[in-house]
Amino acid sequence: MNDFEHKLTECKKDKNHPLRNELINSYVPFIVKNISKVTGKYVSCENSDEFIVGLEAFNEAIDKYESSKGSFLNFAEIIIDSRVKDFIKKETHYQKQNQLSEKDEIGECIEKEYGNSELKEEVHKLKCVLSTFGIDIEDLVDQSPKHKKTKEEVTILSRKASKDDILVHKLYKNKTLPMADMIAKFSTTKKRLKDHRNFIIAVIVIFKEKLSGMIFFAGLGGE
Amino acid sequence: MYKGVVIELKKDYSIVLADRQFYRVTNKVGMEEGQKIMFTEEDIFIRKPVLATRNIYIFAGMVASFITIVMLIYQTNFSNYGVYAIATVDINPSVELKLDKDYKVIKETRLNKDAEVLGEMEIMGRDIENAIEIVVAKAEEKGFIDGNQDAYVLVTTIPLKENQLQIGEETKTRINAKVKESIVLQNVNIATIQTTKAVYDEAVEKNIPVGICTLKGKIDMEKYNSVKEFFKVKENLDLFEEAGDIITSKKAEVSEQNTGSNSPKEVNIEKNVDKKDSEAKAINENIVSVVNKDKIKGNNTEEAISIKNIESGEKLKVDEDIITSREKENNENKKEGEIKQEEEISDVIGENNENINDSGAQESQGNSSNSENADNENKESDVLKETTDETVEGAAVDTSTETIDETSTDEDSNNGSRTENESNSSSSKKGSNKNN
Repeated sequence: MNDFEHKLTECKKDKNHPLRNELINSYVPFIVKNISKVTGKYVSCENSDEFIVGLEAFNEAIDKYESSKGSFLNFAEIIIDSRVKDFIKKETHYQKQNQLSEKDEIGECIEKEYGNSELKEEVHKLKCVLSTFGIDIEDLVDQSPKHKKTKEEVTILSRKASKDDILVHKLYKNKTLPMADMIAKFSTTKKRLKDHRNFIIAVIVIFKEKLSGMIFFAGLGGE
Repeated sequence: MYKGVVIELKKDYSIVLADRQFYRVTNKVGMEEGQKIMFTEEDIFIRKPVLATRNIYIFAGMVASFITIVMLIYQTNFSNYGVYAIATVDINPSVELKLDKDYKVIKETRLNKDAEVLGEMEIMGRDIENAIEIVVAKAEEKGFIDGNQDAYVLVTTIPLKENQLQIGEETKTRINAKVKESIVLQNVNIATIQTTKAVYDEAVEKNIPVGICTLKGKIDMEKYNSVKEFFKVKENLDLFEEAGDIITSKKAEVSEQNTGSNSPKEVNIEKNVDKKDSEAKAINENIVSVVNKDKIKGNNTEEAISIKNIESGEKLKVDEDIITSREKENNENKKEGEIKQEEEISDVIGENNENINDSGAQESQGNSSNSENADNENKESDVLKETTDETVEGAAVDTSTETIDETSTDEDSNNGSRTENESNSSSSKKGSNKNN
């Protein structure tokens, strides 16, 4: 805690201190959580005004915090809460005005929609392809690797496999993972392939279909 | 914190691909597929609630199955462990009764083909003694017990636990009490005996009455596959009385009283033969009982039976004669009554006289004691004289005067003839009563 308080006081002194960025970054989950609590929605990764408002509120909390008045996180929570609420109020007010002058907003709306719809298409495609393999998304949740190391290993393996045309062809033809070939080509074990069979297939499909948005957001790009 | 793409929306949660892994996250407002979201550990959907609901079903299922198992055990308890004792009733239909603690029948099993003939018996839940009564009554109905013959009902009790030796005694006292009020049971000898489960098992295996099997070693069991045959032999009776008890039938007791304990039966029979019809029934009873006794004693059995048969046959014939004559009489009287409605008094008188003569003759034929009545009737020339013995003298005069006055009307004549008919029939009845 001393370290944290030390950081806080440092940040307070200097608005552009590198520690401030570090501090905010490390508390993003906290910020997101609190925003989500207020709005009742998930915070979008892109074009999320609430997220920015939350970050600003957190920043403000760092400035305004006085150690004598209790814990920082409680204070920050109150600040975030109130700021986001204010923002939503403003937003709804703004939207009401927007309804009167819709024309200006159309362009922006389309842009927003587009970003989402692209991903939506990707998701739809992925689902379609996976259904031909007889894989339900539900199965993927339980079969996706949980450990960081395995996750990494399996994604790398899948990416390699997706670049191998013969393997991919076999996979699409037989609708099953060509395990023997994969074991021969990549140094892996049968157990690993078996355990994460569906996940591997899904990742291969994602790479094969070049669902770039998904690759990016799912952190599959890596390396 | 995670950043990911919403892949699929479900009812309770959504699936998100984030950080090289698929996650389930709790649903929030405004989610759509393809949405890029940030979420924290807290948002990850834990299947606990789902598991909980599933658990409820599993739990409910377990409870249900548990209850069914308990009930099954309870039921089997009822059918097997609830059986306190077994009692077999052998006449020759053999019926096995399973008893509970209160000596109530909870299961009945027919042990042989004869028993299956008995048909439906409503003995479930009845006390042992009542059940036995019903079985005996049924057996009698189906002809397994001949009223004239000495019939034995062998009741064998089998306690299923070693400390229940009082069952035999209890059963015996119960039967004894029942015999006092049950006519059915008074007509038969009831032999009671107690045995063990081992003997019971053996008997069931060999398909012989359990009670007889109890005496194994003492007798050759192979010879007797029915109770009737077993009790025909006197030695068996003695043997049996060592191990069990015999509640003798009322009939046998009566016979003992009548004949006296030591009087030779042949003398009795001779006496009986000489006696009048009016005592025929009593004689018959005596004969039956004598025969029974003979059988028990094992002396001159065949002779006794033959005599008995002859005697009973004769008696039956006599009875039949009496009955038929009475019937004839009645019929004639009726017919004549009808005819007389249209006839004149003179005719009525004549016919009635004839009737009286007929009936008197018949009655005297069947019954000498009735001759007095007949004589009276004959003496009185007037047909309408008497209805009863009391009115013979005094009333007869009145009625006769009345009838003389009434001769002018048909109706009255009819009445007169009717009363006469009645008087005839009543007199004949009286005769028969005296006979009895």
